[in-house]
Amino acid sequence: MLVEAGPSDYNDERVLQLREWLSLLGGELDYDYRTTEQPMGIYPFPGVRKFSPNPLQATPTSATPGQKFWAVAARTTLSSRTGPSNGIWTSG
Amino acid sequence: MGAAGWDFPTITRCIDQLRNTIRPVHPKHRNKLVKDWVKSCSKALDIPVVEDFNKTVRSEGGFGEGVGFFSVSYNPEDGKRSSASVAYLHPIISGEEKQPNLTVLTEAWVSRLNLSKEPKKKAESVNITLKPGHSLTLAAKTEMLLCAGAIDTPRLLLLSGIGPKRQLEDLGIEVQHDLPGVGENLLDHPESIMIWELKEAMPPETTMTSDGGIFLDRDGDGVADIMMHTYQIPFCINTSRLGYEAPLHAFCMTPNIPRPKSIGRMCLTSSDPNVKPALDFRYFTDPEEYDAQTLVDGFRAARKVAEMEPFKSYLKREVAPGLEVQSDKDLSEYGRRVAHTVYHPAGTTKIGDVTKDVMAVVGPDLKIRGIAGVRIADAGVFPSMVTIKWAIPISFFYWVEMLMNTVRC
Repeated sequence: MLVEAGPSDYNDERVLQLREWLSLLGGELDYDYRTTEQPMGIYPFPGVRKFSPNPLQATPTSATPGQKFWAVAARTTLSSRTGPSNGIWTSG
Repeated sequence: MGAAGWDFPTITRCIDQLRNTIRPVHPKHRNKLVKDWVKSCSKALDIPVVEDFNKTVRSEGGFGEGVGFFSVSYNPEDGKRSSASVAYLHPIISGEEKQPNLTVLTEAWVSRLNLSKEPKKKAESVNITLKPGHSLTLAAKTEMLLCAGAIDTPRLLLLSGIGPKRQLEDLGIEVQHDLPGVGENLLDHPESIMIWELKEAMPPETTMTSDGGIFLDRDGDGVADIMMHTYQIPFCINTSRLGYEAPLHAFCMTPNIPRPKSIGRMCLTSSDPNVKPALDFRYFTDPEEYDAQTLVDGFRAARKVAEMEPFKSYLKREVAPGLEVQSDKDLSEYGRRVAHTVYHPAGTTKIGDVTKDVMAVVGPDLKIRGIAGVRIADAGVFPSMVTIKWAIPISFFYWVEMLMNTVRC
């Protein structure tokens, strides 16, 4: 028996077309895991409003507590399988 | 690291058996701008152009420096992924291949791994809930394989009461098996970004808008310690949040830390399986500041490339971080603030010598310490990071080949 994670990608062009990977971020197949607050890096730093050295910057950050952790490769199947006598399935 | 038997000849033999079609970006998907970027990288940084990274690894056992088009697991004819799912499962689902002893349950939520009681614990079954709402308990004939990834495999173990005793008790989860390493050693590849505005639109040829890569070896030990790839699009998610402009036509280089020294952990915050786990990567917390310095060195290398023809002629200006950001301190701060994950979590159920390393979760045979009848086969078992992405190392069938060899022996 084998346990995997993620939805099926069969006939799902959103996943199958490699060039479309960016559209998966934040989409329906996204795991939407987030990091805990990361004080030393990975946007946003707590309490930081903007990065000062660049004069072009004026947009305040959002209050997002941590970086959204996207699972872009979510394509496998949460499944169980029964296999041959040794219990391990192989395609060979 | 206690991973006896996981040597280069064994790994390459297993990779040779993969069905996936892995090949360098097809010539028809190589646009002139990225080709010129490769030339400029080679000239500016005095590194070789690599025609086939995988071939180089195979012939030389690895590489320290080089630039070129990536090897990609895809089909150039239709642009589709050649993932393990596509290569192995789709032919069966479509009926092209027959595998009558295979049953796949989709939309099935696995909530618990059930163990037999002492004195010898054995994984016997899993509890699942199907989409219509009814629950089942499925027993394995011989053995179980957990392949849910470096986050969801330890998550399932923890929810099953298999993990650090203290954490489980604090959450009111019945302890089935005290295993202190579950969820620890969380690894990832953090990455930052530089953005240039282009004078003209990016040529259209591409595989995945990220076709080229560069590897640098600062200390000359033969192992790449800075990696960058191209984004042939305006990847401005994090820089825009800091107020940077998002140019219509852009080219990005992304300093990445192949072998980061910061180590995090994941844990549960609730016994409720619907509550997502806490992922604390502890990015950039290594006391030597190796990780942060790697980004700084990557930025400086990227700027050298941007000053080198023929690539230089494509560029209108550096958008982020901007030429006014020059000191190590400012580059580090910028780099860490706009950094992002590249979705390579690993290490949370690490392999090791289970007779010596109390934090090892599985042995070299991938069997969970102290529990019979269950193995883990995903990125969680790697005790340290690989230089690039996990797609091939964690290919399920690659592991199965390893496991089958173990079983057959």
